[in-house]
Amino acid sequence: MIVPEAFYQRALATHLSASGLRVREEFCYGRRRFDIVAFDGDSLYGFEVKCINWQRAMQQARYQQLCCDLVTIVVPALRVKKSLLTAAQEAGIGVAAVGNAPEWAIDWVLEPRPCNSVPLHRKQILMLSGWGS
Amino acid sequence: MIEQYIRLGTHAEAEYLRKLPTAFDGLVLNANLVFGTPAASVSLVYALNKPYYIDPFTHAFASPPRFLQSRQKDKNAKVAPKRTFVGLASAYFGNSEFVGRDALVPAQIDVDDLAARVISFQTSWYEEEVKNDQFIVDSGLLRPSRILAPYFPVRSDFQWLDVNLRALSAALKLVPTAVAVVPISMAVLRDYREKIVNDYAATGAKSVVLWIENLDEDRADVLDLTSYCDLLSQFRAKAITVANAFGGFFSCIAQHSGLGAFAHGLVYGENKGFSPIVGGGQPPPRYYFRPAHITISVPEAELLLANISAESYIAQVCDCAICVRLMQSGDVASGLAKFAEVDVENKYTPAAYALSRFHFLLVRRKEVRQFGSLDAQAQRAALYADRTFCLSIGAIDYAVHLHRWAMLIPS
Repeated sequence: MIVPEAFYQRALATHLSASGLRVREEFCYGRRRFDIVAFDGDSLYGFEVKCINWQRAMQQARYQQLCCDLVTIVVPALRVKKSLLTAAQEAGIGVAAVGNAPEWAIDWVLEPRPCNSVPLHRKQILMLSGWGS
Repeated sequence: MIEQYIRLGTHAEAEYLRKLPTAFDGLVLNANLVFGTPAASVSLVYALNKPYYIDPFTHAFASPPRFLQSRQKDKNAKVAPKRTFVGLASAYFGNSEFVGRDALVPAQIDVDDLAARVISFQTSWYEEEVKNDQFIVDSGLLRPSRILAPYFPVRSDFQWLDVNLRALSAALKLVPTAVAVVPISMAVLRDYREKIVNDYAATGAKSVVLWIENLDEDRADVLDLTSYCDLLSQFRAKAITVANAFGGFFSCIAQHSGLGAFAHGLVYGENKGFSPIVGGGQPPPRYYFRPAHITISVPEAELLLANISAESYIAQVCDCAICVRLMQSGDVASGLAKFAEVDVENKYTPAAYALSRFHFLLVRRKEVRQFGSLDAQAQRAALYADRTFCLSIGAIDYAVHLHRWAMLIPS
């Protein structure tokens, strides 16, 4: 059975909220859409959820690195491949794996490295999300 | 040197042209825009003090009627014909009942009457606006530099070609310098160049405005670009001057084949389909990527250029006044982010649009002037230098056309 991407996204958003982060799903910034942005009062996190095309997720995550402090690609647990980990490691992008229903367990497979985000983008995302100016 | 015209999309763009009148040679105004905003159009044409001409936009009346309809913003959301096209139809055809209901067919056109009315509109559209300002009329600035004959899209069924040719002949009888508009599909470009040139030459026209539907210069393959250049050469062989209704940087190369002028919008509008554009809202600001001579989205630009130094950016990408100021912080990513600034409602700010448009105007003018003054060998070298730079930053997808373009510069 194919599980829609939105289910993984919802699972992660629930997990982040439960961990005390402020979360926005389907966050629009300009003409771009981030699957999830989250804020812990200090760091701004970006998440790109993809079930199939992780190369596309990498492209989108690379743009998120210009906007957020830490960026992670989120894939179904069965989709964590060495090629993805290698590419993500090189780009400083984290990888999280989401397990199956009903637990939707989150496994933080690869830690993201802090990004050199552009201050204007970061500021605008915080403004649009209502988390600060 | 090739002449560069700006096609005004809306009057919101006019302020950029007023502030940078040195960045282009002339102005193109669509008849529907002029009809709907005569006062603003008079003001702009007079202030710019540059050659201008009206695109009569007659082709719109042969488009499917839905393109001439607008949905009213009331509770009933009624569909009604667009007001400007209703008015324009009355001026051109003497009736407007068909607008938004039926597309015109060739049998409905009285070519002599249409030619006279279309010419009359172009030469008198401003009279009502300036009837109390004789000094503006006396200045001669409102007289269009070209008078265009009526035209309709020519596809490979040639349904409208005969009407176009007869209307052109009628226009030439009234105004011997009238300009033919030659709106052809890609299929006609590929297969019927000789026929098109011979047919239009037979009318006695000495000048044409060429519109090749959806000719995207950077995506077109070598065969289509070669066909385009060949068409220009054939017109030149008949001593007919050619301006391109919608063109981009490739016009500087097409100049070798006889192109004398080209027009484009502000950042957008370097190619266009025959059907009028409907709705869609204001498009986002785009970034003109000088090394590839194309516009790209701002996020794409940021990803491509974020890791180069400000010095490299100024030396190899762009040294226009806008970019020099933006890169003063020494951080290219921060400078480029300003092209995509949004407000609290996630709408692009006027400042972002201004940066995008001024940057485009400045860069386009400079590259047209500089590239146009080079000899063929130096032009090829310049394109290959740009290509090498693009490859060096990983902009492979954005540089493919540079090789194609270089191949088409004659020895």
